[in-house]
Amino acid sequence: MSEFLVTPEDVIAASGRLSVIGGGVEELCGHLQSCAGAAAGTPAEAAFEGMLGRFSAVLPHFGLAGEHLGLAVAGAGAEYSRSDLEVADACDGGRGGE
Amino acid sequence: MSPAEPPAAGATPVPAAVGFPIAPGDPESIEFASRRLGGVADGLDVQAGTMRSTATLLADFWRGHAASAYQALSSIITEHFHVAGETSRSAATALRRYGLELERCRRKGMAATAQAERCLNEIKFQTRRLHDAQLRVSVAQDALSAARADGARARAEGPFGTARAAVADLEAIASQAALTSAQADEQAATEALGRAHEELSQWQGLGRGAWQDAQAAADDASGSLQALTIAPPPLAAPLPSAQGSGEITIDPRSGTVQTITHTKSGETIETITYTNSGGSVATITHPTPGGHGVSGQGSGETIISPGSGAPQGASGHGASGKPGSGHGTSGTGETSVR
Repeated sequence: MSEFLVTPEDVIAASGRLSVIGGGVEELCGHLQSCAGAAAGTPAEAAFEGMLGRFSAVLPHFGLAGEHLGLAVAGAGAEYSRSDLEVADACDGGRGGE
Repeated sequence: MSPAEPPAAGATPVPAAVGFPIAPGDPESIEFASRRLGGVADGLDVQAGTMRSTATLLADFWRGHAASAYQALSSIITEHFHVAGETSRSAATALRRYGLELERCRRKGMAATAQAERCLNEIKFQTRRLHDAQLRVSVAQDALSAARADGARARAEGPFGTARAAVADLEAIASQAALTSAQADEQAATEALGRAHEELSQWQGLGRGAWQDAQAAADDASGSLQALTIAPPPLAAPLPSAQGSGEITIDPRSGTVQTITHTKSGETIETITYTNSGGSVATITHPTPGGHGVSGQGSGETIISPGSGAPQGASGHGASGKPGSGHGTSGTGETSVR
């Protein structure tokens, strides 16, 4: 089993930093979309639009990766916090029965 | 131009008879796209920095197996951000190079077009001049022949034709002068026409060269852009306990639903735990304003409600209202079982 050291509140707070990544990436997706048609009429048009399509399809995954990681960290923090409270409560309850 | 507004694609002027096209495309739009992709690259770098700094921050107060797994995944995702940023930057560079070359080729093509059109106008002018000179040569030759014939006929008449012969000779002299002038014009127009054709050919060569350079630049850019791909980063799997994770299907007929409610600092928190027959567990924790399912609230009081029916807030889990099988819990002290 794991041996671990954790400050749940700080873990939860740090997860907030990751939650902004989704929005940031969404903005970048908008930047990509604004480039559409830039090479219209040129021999490079197909390659350019193809690249734009590939980038646009994959970029949202970066936002998701940040969001999922943030959720996982936040979830871990919440779980640590919950377990901590539960064990503390259980112990408090045990002492109360003495 | 505002970077938020993409420039409209410029219309390519199509020269009518210059003999070569101007490279199509709008260098400004391509430059705009290049700047945007550069911005995307910078943005991805910023996000990578956020991932990296968060991992560094978390390393100070989170250690253990889960923390190591997080650090490893964070590192992989950060690297994906970094590589994606570099790929976007490569695209920006390829587009910038193409945009600049296209701009140069189009300028060159337009200059060549203007010069070629000037040459075409010169050719038209010299052609008219040549035709005019040739006409004047023909007229002067006819006039000279007629004057000479008149003079010959007048002289054949003897003393009576002397005066007419003199007039004819004067006419012949004038016609000869006109013929010489027209022939000189014809020669000059022919030479000028030749020079104009030669110059047109040179400008057409430059124009075609500019078009070919733009084609080559487009091919280079296409090759670069086609090779650019971004691999999606791995996603963290949802925690089994995460709300709406869908990892475990709740079916109260084949498992137990247990609701644990505790009150802390005036807030009531409800934890709903489902255990199915296979031993899998799903847990939902959420605050319950108004003290749902709580009796005898008090600081630190824990109420365990086995089989208490449909868990509120368990959205996405398909929980029915059927009670579970009554998980046994022994309550001690302030803990009660309902």
